[in-house]
Amino acid sequence: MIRRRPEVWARWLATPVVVLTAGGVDAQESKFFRTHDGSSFLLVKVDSRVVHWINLQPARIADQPEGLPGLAVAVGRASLSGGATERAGEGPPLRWEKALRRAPSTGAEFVEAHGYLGVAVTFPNGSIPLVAELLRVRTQRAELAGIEPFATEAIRARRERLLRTPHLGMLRRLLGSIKGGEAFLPGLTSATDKVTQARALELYRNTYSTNRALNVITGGFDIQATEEVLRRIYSVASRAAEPQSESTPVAPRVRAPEPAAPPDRSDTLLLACPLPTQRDPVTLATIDLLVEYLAGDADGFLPDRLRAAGHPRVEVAIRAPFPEPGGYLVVEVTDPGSKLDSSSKLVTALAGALDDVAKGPADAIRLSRAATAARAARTQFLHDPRGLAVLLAHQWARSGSVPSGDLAIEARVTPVAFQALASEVLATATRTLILPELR
Amino acid sequence: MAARWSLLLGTLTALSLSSCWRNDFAGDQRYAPPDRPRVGPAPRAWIPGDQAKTAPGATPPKGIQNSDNTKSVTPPEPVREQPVDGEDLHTFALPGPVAINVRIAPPRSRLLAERAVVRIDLRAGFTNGLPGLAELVALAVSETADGAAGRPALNAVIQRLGGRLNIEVGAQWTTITAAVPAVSWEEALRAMVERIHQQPLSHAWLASLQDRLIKHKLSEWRIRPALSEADRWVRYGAGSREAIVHAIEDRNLPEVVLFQRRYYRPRNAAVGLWVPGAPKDATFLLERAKAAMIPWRQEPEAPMVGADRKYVPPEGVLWLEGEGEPRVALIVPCSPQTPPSLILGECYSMDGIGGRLGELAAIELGFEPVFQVHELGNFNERFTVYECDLPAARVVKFWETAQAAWRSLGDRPPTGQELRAGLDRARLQLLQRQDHAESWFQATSLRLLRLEPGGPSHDLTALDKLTTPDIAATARQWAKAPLALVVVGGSMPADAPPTFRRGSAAIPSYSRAPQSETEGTEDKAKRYLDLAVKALGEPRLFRGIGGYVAVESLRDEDGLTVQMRTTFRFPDKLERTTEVLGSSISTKVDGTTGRESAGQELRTLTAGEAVNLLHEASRNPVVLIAGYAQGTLRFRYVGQRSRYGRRVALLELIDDTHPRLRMTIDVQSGLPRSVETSSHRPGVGPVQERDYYDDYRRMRGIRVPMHRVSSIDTEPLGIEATFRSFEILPR
Repeated sequence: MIRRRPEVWARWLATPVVVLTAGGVDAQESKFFRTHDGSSFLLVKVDSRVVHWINLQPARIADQPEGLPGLAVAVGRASLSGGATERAGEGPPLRWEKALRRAPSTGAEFVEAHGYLGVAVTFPNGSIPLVAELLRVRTQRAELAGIEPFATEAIRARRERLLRTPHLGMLRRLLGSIKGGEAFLPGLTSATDKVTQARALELYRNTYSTNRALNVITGGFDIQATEEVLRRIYSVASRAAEPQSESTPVAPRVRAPEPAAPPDRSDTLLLACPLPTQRDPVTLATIDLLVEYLAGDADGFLPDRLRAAGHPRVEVAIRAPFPEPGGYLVVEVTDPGSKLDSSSKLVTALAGALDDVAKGPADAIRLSRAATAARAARTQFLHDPRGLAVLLAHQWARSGSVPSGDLAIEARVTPVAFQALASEVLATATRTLILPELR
Repeated sequence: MAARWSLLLGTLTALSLSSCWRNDFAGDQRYAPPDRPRVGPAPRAWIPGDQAKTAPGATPPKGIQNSDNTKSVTPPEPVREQPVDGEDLHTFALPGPVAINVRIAPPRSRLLAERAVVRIDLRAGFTNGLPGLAELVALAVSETADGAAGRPALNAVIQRLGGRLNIEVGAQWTTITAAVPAVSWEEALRAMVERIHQQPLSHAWLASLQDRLIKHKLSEWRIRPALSEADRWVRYGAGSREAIVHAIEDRNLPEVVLFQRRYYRPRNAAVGLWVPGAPKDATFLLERAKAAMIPWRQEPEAPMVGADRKYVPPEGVLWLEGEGEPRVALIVPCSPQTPPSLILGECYSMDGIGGRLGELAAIELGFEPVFQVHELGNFNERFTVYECDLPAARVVKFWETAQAAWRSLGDRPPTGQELRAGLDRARLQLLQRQDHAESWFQATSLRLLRLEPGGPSHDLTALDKLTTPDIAATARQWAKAPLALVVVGGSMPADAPPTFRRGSAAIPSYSRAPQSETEGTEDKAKRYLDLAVKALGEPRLFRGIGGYVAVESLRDEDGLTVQMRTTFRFPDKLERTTEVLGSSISTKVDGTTGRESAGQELRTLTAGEAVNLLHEASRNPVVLIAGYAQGTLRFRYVGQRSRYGRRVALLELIDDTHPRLRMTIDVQSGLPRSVETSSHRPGVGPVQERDYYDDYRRMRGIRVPMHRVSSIDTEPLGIEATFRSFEILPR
């Protein structure tokens, strides 16, 4: 089976950016503005009787203490639970969540998107003021109750997810080989540092300042009236926004020994190529197209070429970007039952296939199919207003820029642009090959 | 005479089939077509029952004559319903498919992609056929490609169109949904219909699908143990995980093909189309849809054989003991989804936080759990599952609390505050449904097929019309429904109530044994075959068997009796005399040729009929064990199963030239207990036959079974054979 491998530590990393069907978001249908407290809002009007609100706060790996890679998730969950004074019994306090549900709303659904964490809420038009107030309060807490159980659970879940990652040992060696030094996958350490209120609050205050939040709201509301309500509620920064450089990492701490990865499969190899660091929508769409072209579900170039080269059972999967946005495109090739080494014919065949894509020109029919598949992946959730909100939020988080202007991205990915990117990414000199280590 | 001859042959064939088939074959008029709920005026009659009433000599109905003469099909004209829902919902009642629902969604925003939703709801689920079949057939529909014809799998077709395919199997329903770009709806429907009624399945591909399905289940049991166990209970009923693995593993190609022929057919289906941007006149879409479905609607229908299992909702507590703290999954019924029930659901637990459950738990347990909430099942077997971690010592208390909170809905109707909150959130749910084609189809299919009278609804005004007595009445009714709880992990306390059932959270072992790898499994099979030889006699006696003469009396559940005397000489000579209804039929088979005579009538058997008779005669356990002792038959070990209240070893005949044959041997006594195989029945297609043997008596040193009960497919055991004598013939 040919598949595109989803990233395990950022569930949404592989989700493509949104492409709206025609044109961009115009003034009649949408509005972007910042309120006085620094919050960013994108309002999009659609024909619906409910409102969907996605509120995201930054949670990049670099924002988190190295010894506590799940702390951002724990902080996010604790932020939904209200203050310690509301605590009753041994479970987490629930007053805030209950108030949100009674607004009425669906309640807060926890979401992750490209280095951001947040909540998605759906509610009727009439509840906008109440929900807005509750979401604002969430970023202004004085304490975070029940953080320890959340942290323990988040770190455990993260480790479990990572330990289920196929070819973990090879991925570690790949990163070690690329970056030099000790191979280390973020998040796969034991929690060496104790979760304290102080450390949780430190992270909370750094990342939950209003000027770092992204808010996408879609629904059948009146844009002007909604803007007025939001400007009124988000008028005062009750806790001074602490302008943090997005590149300021929390000081590294001592890491615990990593758990052993299962032995390598003898029949699998990895090949990594660096991706461009630009995050503009067109570049991101071109990367998606390249992934689809190389190993799309139905018509991948690589599996076809490798099968034709005498490997009829070969399977190809691609991770991109790995391990973080702006990272690498990693090709995983498995020839079931074989024993791969540097002299294997499969290695030569793979190199030849990648050379051909880098050299071009691309197969026009295959490229067209890949574009259809990429477009389908982008638009698959766009049949309801909630899907629109989620995808706009993802695009914003992934590209770092407000999704506005010309959003018909496919039309701007020309064969020439595709070829230029393929040549840059798949250039022979930049490839890193990882072969199985047989014990 | 010809009619009489036909009746006799029909009766003979029917002895091993169900009453439905018998009636249909013999022209019996008791055949009742399945309920076909209609909307509006009744469609023109075309059902087989009506055809059976056609007077002799009358002009046969127009349409397609099936090759096996079972029935002919005349697609009728649709009956159009009055549009409802703001003139955007159009329902056309057709006898097959049951109905086509067409909705042309108004343009909501140019920002939203124009995606059509094409959905086919089939009345086929876990309660139909043998366990595992519904899922396997659904998987096969999605994933089977036809390399020879150059047809990709349905899933790949939908992806190439730029869409996504979703198939969901419930207790009684399978829904197949494709969301595709609006311009591709017709192509998607055509591909779906094509795969639904035709599949180029092979034994090898089916084996790979079985392997995938089992591995998927094992993985789910590891990753989401409590939720997946709740899901298993809702779908498969109270059984073990091991039984599910075995059920899937034991299915074979004829069973899958027959299930698809029986259940994936137009009269079992409702088709829904949501095509944004289509012309306002809904008949435009209807005509295109009808054209896309012509091959399916003309497909011959396989007779319905066998009774479906009654759906039993989960009830009580199942504790799967294992490592770590327990995770619990409370299973609460949530159908029918009518406006009052939506409000009551909110009163019980406000989507996992609060409500009566939360409040009572805070008092009884000292804290308020936060649940992850899921919905399981579909249509009218839907359940809400509340999942959380809980210390083992508090599980019993939690179960009591959950039940008390549930019962309180009936004893103490919701207060004004509860009603207000419940009403607001129920209204929000209905508002959300307006945006989703999926929930809209669910609602219309249920209404059309009358599974849930009155609901679920998109009608917001229904909420405003509700009165407190309405809700109180529904609450009293609702609170009688049973709850269930799954606990995975930890140890069940010694003082747990007797209603708590204990199980193991261990994941069943599974290793796929490729067909070619028979060496190890063959050695294992020998262990049980030797046990059987020892239990039945001595090896030398079996080595000397060359055939048998059996005189048996067959009796079906309606009391029809047939006497048969069969002389069978290994491997391919058979003579049989059958006496039924005062007539005598003689049959003689030699290899692939044979003839049958009744009085002056003489008929030559086809090669297939001759082989079928030999196959039937040779599946007596004595013959199979003799074949093993003489070295002409080889078996491989499949595994151990619990059947007929015993632990049996399941062995499979290693033979690529005939349909799969499996024999079970009691691991304690060594007696062969059953033989299962499949055969092709004229007019029916492949059927699965199971013979259960008992009453072993010694005949010339060999114990032979003198009693046999047979079943076909899922039909309950009903055809009984008593051997008056069984004489062994020497080689």
